[in-house]
Amino acid sequence: MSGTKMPHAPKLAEWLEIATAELTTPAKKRIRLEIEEHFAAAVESHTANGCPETDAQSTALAELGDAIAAAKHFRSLRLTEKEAQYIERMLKYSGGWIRMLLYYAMSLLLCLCFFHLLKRHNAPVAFPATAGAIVFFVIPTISFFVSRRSNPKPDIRLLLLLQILYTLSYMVLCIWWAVRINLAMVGMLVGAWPIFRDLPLWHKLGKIGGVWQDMPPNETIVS
Amino acid sequence: MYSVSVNIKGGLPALILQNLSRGPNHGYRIAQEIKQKSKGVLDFKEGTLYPSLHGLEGKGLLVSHTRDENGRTRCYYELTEKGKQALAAEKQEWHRFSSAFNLILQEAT
Repeated sequence: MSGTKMPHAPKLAEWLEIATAELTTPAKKRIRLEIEEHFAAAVESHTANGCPETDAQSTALAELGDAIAAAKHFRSLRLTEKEAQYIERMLKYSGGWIRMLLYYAMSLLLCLCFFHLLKRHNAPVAFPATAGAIVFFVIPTISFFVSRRSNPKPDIRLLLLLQILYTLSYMVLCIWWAVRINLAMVGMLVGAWPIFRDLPLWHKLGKIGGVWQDMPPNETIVS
Repeated sequence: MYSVSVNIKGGLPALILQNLSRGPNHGYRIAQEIKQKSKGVLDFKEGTLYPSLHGLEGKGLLVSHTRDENGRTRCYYELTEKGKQALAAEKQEWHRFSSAFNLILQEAT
């Protein structure tokens, strides 16, 4: 963005390194260019007021403030590398044909085992059948179509919400099962952990609007 | 002299919206204009301006575009319709708050 070079500003580079740590490359690029431009304009203004170049740079840097505080702000408003990679994996996982078919096959197998166990324990099947259908068929199918959209690009927040619903339905199913058959407590605990990662990310995406400006290009490929 | 440290962190978005209501502007000039207009009372670390700008842009209150000026490429921000409405709401809220504050401070002792 900026054509301005600041060859004697290694401290600015350090400031930017700290302020943009953990962010995705497009987010880093945008912030760096804006801050560099801001810094150049500030130095120019201070030197125009008779300040020596080195003093002008130090003053401009001091005016930017604490890099750690800025980093905290930026991380709450821009995607981090980890979050982008997670979204990427989620898109690939939800939108892949082979995965989807395998998922259906596994779901069918799980359902058969499930009903077999329920019959043996004489438990009603209406509730687990509905919850099972939501968990193993409805949500993955909606996610599949949402993640394969290309124009407009997939709604990541909706995908996360579907994933949260998936986890919640799965938990309800496991609790039901645990109460009836005294089983699946371990499965419930293992299956519940993604909610602690998905809920904060879903909340963050609500604050930052879109994610696509921060997603690295050429990585949003759905298999 | 008794000095009061002014924390404008929460109020910075409203000041940005007000500044941009007069037309598109870039980060450095927004910061300078806020400081100058408040005669230095509303001082803030300029590094915090950009997270606020990006936050407002994420909410759809601003849009950004780049412009070339004297061999430099600058990022300009512009108020959207939603931003104008948000500014009007912010102003109303601020007037309500400051009136209440004044009522207490101007109370005869």
